[in-house]
Amino acid sequence: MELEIKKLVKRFGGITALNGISLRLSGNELVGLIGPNGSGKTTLVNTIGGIHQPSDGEILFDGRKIASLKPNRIARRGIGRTFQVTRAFRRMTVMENLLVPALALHPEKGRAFWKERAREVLDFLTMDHLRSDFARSLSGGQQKLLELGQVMMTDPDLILLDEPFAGVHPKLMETIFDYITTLHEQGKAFIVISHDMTSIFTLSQRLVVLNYGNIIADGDPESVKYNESVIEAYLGEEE
Amino acid sequence: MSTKPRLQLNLPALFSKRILQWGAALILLVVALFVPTFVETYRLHVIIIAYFYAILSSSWSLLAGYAGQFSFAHVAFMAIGAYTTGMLGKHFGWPPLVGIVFGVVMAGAVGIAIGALVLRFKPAYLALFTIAFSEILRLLIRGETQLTRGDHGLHLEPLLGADVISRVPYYYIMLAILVGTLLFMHWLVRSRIGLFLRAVREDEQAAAARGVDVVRYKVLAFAITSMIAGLAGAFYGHYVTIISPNMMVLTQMGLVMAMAIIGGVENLIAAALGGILIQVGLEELREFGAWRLVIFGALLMLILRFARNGLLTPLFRLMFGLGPRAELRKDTATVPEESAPVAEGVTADGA
Repeated sequence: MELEIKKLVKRFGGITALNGISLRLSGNELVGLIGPNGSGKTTLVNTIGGIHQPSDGEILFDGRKIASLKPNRIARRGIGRTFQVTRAFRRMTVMENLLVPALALHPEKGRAFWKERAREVLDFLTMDHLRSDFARSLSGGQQKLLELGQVMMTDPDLILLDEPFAGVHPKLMETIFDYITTLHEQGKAFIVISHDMTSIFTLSQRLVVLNYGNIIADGDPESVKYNESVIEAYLGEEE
Repeated sequence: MSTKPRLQLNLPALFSKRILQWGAALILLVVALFVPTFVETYRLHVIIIAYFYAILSSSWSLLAGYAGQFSFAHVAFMAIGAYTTGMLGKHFGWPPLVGIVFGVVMAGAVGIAIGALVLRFKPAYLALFTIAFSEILRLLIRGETQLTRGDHGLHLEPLLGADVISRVPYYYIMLAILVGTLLFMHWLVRSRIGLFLRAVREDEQAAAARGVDVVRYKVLAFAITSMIAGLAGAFYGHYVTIISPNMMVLTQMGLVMAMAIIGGVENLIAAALGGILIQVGLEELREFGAWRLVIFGALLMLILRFARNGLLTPLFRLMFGLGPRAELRKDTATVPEESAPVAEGVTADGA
């Protein structure tokens, strides 16, 4: 897996959300993406995922341009994602939620194969007992897990997680943390956005910090923790 | 305090859901097959028209209820089917069956064109565009009198020829079209296409992020339902033998939508039964004059306010045990058992 972002710009009217960002990920890196509110984290993930078209710059995935592709084509290339506010298909069962990405991306394997695979994924997420329930009946944390399950179904090389720990029961947060670690050990690359500093500093091999659409720090968690620009972005300038 | 055991008819526990559903459908079909033996000619005509509306309301429910696409042009596509076969017959002398096929194809082609044009935008655009399209088409048909005979109405050949006066064969043909289209739509919603359509209805962006080609499936649903409406319209034209632009006024579209909503817009059978019951009901209440429309309007408002799944869908849920299986539960339901047990009463199938 290789993701290369070159001088990426995203403007919304007069507001520049991403201001010429360049970033490179390779192998199975687990990158944490942090920054104050409005720094452009979700915009970056949405632009990589195809929900936003970049105003300028390039995104290459495994050497091929993906910046102008629709989200479904990007998913087909091997990039999976979850959303900041969970967007499971609420009036569909847990099993159906898992079948959607699988049958959309690999219909040739057939429904029976994917149902079997869905049971494995649900087992992994300890959610098999909920497979016949509608997604709307799940708690917020369970819906986060379900989204993770949707991503796992299609075995993407790069997984983008937008606030996977937000609003989740502390015990379930640990569970999600463990699942991410396990998948990472299995060879998946991650970009994880989080405001939960304890989790993201523990989880990440590398931290990228955004502020006002610019990367202000990029390195191992320990060096980022004491970076002056980062401290300033979070706490403000000293008088 | 002792409690008396209550006698409960728990049909889902007695039979599997699938057997119950198909059994009920079979009973309805058998009753429908015998209708011509105990119904007089006029009422048989009313029921044929009711089946026509059932095709329209159920196909609209596929589009709106399953795919989440709110179109106001469904009766316009019905009219395209009717006028295509009518004009081919009048100007080129084509036989009704060939005309019907072309009517269906034309409705589908226009459906694809409109779908490709509008369905990549937000749903509100589809609603506005289809209202405008319906009105433009209606005015075009009114104006092009040399082609369509405008408000004078276009005469069509009877499907079975002028010699067949009995309505019974027409009854069975309309019933066959209704059953055929319902079976086809049922298959469609249970296929992966149906799965994707429901995902698109729930959240277009999320469906796209999961790999669903959103525009493609929306256009597909739009084209299929347009073709079904075109088929209904083409056959209707060759049954009533005269069609006019009045068949596609917005109030007709409102009627079809009301039938689907009152029956249950997210259930094909409920929407079809809504069409039949309302058409027959309006006819039976004809002696009340304009008051029947007032009652009908009030019923519609009450249903929109208090029974958003329509009247029949909750009934089906009660009879066949359809619907959601578990209530909102806490996060603790998924965390390891030693720290928090699974919520009480929640089992693998939510039973």
